[in-house]
Amino acid sequence: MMRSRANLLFRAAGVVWLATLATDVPSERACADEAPAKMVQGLAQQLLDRARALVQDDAVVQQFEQQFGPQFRQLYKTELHFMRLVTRPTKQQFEKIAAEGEAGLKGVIRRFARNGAAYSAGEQADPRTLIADALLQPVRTTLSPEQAARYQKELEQRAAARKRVVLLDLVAKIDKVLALTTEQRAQISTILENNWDDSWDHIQFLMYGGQYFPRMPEAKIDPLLTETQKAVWRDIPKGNVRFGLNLQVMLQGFEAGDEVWDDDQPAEKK
Amino acid sequence: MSRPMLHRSLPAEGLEWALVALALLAVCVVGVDAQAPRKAAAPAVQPAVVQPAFSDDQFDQWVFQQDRNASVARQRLNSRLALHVDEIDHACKLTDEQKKKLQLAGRGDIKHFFDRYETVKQKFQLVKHDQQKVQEIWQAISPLQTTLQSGLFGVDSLLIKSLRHTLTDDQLARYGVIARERRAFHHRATVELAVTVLEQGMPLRDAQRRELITLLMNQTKPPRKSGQAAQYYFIMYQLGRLPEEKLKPLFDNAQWKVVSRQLNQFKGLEPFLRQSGQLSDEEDEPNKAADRPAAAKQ
Repeated sequence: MMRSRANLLFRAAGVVWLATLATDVPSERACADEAPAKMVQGLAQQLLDRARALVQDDAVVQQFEQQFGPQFRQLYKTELHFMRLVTRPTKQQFEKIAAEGEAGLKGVIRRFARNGAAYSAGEQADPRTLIADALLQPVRTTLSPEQAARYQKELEQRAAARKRVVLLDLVAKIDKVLALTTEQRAQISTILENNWDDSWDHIQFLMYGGQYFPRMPEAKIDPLLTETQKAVWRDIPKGNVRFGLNLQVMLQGFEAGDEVWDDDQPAEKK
Repeated sequence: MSRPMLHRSLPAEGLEWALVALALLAVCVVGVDAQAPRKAAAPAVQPAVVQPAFSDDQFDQWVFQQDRNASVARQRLNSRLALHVDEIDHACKLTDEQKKKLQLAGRGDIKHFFDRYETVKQKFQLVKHDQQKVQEIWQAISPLQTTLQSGLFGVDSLLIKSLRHTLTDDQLARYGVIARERRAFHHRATVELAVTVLEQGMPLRDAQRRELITLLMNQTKPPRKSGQAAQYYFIMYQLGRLPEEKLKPLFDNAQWKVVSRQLNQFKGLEPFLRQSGQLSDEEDEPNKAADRPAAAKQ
């Protein structure tokens, strides 16, 4: 689809350029016609740029898919297994959900291919969360409302656990540099929870980013600190550090096995 | 946590169609001389490859990283010392004499660090023009970086060791309470981080997650030293050494297959943990036959 759109744009740009080359304009008219000429040239250039960008985009997505597609599929496979564990579908239901979720998986891969390592503030950078989101719709249309609700609830609990670990480890990071009291740790944890920013949710940042601190609600944290703590805290650079996508950290190079189905397995019907 | 909707494909699609329409319209109504002058591209200049000679500044940046140089690092370490003495004072209500003793001990830790730095720097001076030998000196720079990252005032520091001789029994007990609370807090943070990382390979149900966190809190020791990556690896190393009988029942077969493989790779972390000071001799208890580590059975 992207290729055909790129072709269309290339053709349109070509038509514009041919038209401009074919027109013989006397030199005395050149000045008068300069403005519309520039407009057409600019338009043709925009068309060419956009067409080139589309071709490049397509190539980037293909290259990314070749390189990381298997890892994303691995994530998808483990997420499907989790869904099975929670909702207990029949084999047929499972296979239908897996097939319908493929489109969502491709969308996630495309999104990561385009973003690369650059995420804007607040953007979800965890592929598993996005893959789970993509599975929700086929789960809802294939399984009973009760089964779908169970899966949804587990995803919410996973998200809550993830948020809790980010808060805990952020406070631990601050504690390491400011030697907080027990009360300060609790107060800062509440402040961070009430001013949550999705961009804090980078596991690599919590694992390896010992010396990096994200932007935090300084105005709310500052009054809780002693003068010595304030002086140290002020000197610590804070910013949006991006570690990007690291599927190796997620998968550690290991593959989940194929789903095993037992004929005696209890299944729930829709 | 809010989860954004999946990104819609190509938001610029409408713009492209508008551009095509405009272009065709423009061709119909405008006659132009579009022979724009084209500039010849300037030949690319290939930069000469220069063999880098490492400067003293470069050495300082390797050692002090975000502090960049010894002066800034010293200032930061002095501030950290002030923080630690403040913290102990807050809990124990120190006398001026006690404060002075603790400050002296802390300054001893800072001096000890800079003595190590000077020793490595002297070695660097001898080899800084030889790239190959500078590579070798990394073995000496790395422990300095680790020390700075994990902090100078940990359990092995003069500051903490001097507490026993400086504080009264009552003060020591009060300090012990806040130290234990901090250790437990950091232990919890690292355990939950380890479980989150494990879950990236294979997600767990909420009940499984809670059980695993409880098991880890009860069966692993808090790290001896600060430093997030080393703490995380220390917990994973301990997790890999837990008896399979305790760990396996938490997972189903497919999960266990992935989790046990993940844990298996942490077996080889021992030298790293020893170097970073997380693992001491007391962790070297011989494995009993019944307590054969989970990872070893794979």
